[in-house]
Amino acid sequence: MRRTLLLLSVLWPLNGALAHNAPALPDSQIARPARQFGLPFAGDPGPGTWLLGQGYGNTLGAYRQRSSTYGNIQGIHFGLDFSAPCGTPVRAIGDGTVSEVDGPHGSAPHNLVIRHAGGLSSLYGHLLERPTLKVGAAVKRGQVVAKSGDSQGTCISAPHLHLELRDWGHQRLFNPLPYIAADWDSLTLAGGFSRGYELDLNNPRRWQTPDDQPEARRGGRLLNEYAKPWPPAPAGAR
Amino acid sequence: MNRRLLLAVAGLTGLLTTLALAATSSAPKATPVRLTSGGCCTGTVWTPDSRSLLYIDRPPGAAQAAVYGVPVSGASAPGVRFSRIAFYSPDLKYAAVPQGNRTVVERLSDRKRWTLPTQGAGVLWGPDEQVAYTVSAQSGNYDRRVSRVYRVTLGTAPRLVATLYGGGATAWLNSGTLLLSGKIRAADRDRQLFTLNVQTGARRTLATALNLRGVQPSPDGKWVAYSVAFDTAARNGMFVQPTGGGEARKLGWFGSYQWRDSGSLLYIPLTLNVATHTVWRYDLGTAASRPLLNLAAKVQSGDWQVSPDGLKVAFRKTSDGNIYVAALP
Repeated sequence: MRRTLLLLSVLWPLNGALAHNAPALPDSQIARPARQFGLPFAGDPGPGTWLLGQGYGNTLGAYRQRSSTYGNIQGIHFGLDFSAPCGTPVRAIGDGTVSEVDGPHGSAPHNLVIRHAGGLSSLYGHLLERPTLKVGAAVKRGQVVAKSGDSQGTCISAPHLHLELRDWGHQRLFNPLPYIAADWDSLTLAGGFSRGYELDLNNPRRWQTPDDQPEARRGGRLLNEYAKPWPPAPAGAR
Repeated sequence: MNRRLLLAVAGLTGLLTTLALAATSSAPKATPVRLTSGGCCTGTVWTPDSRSLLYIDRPPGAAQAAVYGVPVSGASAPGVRFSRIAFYSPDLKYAAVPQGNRTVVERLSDRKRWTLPTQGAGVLWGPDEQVAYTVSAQSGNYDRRVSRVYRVTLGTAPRLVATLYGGGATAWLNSGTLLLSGKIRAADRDRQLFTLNVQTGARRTLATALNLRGVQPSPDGKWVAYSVAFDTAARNGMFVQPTGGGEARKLGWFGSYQWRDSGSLLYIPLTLNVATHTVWRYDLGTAASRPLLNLAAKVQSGDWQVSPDGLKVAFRKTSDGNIYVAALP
């Protein structure tokens, strides 16, 4: 038993490297979007509960951090940000199994990955504290699995939950919108801290709506390194 | 006792929801007119005469992107209004083009140009050839980044008028007053919303809260609408407040809002699972709200705009991504 623990402790740091070097699942093993998941927060949105802060994809905010914060995932915002006070209960978006607790996926200070059917995993990032769930635990849709936190670690700066939908290999990141049953048209009305999408003036109709956003792959070239961007990023923002 | 209270609250919530739905269904239903095709239309704005809408596009076959215009009368198809992509002032008399660390402002009537050291920041158009801009640090904790607000009358040197953290200038209220929000000190918990006399430096704090969002002054600059989120229950919500001094008024709704005129706000409530979005009107004088127009569609990404004359509303429709216009009652 002790040897097993020692072996696990030695191998644990490799887990992330292995996860990030696992092969991407092919389309044939990825479930098609069918609104099969639910929202990560319960109750109605509002100024005292939660709001949709930033959408997935080619957002203005991501463009300004395309080579820094988002450079490893092709420059786009590869998840959804839900603003909420620190400590808001986070719920599993679908049935699944806990596959990682505080894995090597960024989204500090704490994160959680749940493996679902159909080749998909959900990642819950910027959590307030390390989730108490153990790897291998079964979870049900709607079950409280964590508490939301703040990407800046203060609970007053940018308190929000970062939610991603990935393939099991952690190589492909998908737009969660068509996978999650929600009234997105109403959720995008109000409360965002980053609304709008960066324009490629050579193709200004592309990637301009919440549901028309590209899949991203780990380590791929920047999708938004446009020859003619609009608006231009402020000096030093890339 | 607690259970009774919960039942009472649940009953009241249900009643309010029922009333809201009933009120929504009682709103006249619009017959929106489609103005564009093919899905397009980023950054739609009204022309100052309320007769046309402008947006950036590059339709199939066009050599390059441009600012297109389409008359709301439907009298003609969309056409190029400005071949140059720029930030145009609301009166369409000036254009601003960021170029690296600076912004070139051009007066369109005579093509006279001024270069401002904005570090690429956007400009706020003010009266009397004044502009303001906020130069912010691009790294560090978002709400502790230093933001320096400059004001300039075109042709003179920019002048630093305020230093904030995680904020900046929001709007001009009149020729001598800016509206700003941000933290006074980097380590502060709360942001302040305040007016600044750009001549004397005098400040008037209007509100203090953790998250001040959606700050919008009324067309005459005498009121401001804003929302507060994730603070205390008493602070959270939607507010209007006189900019010249006076108490904030907490409103009983939350959603996407715009001023129709200096006496009324229009808003689409943040209510989930509705079939269509309905525009409501909040009257500043009577402090009452009522449903104004059921858009008979859903608005995409909160992309809707009230015309400057307050008579029409344009919006991008979710189902096809095109611009529609409807007359407001």
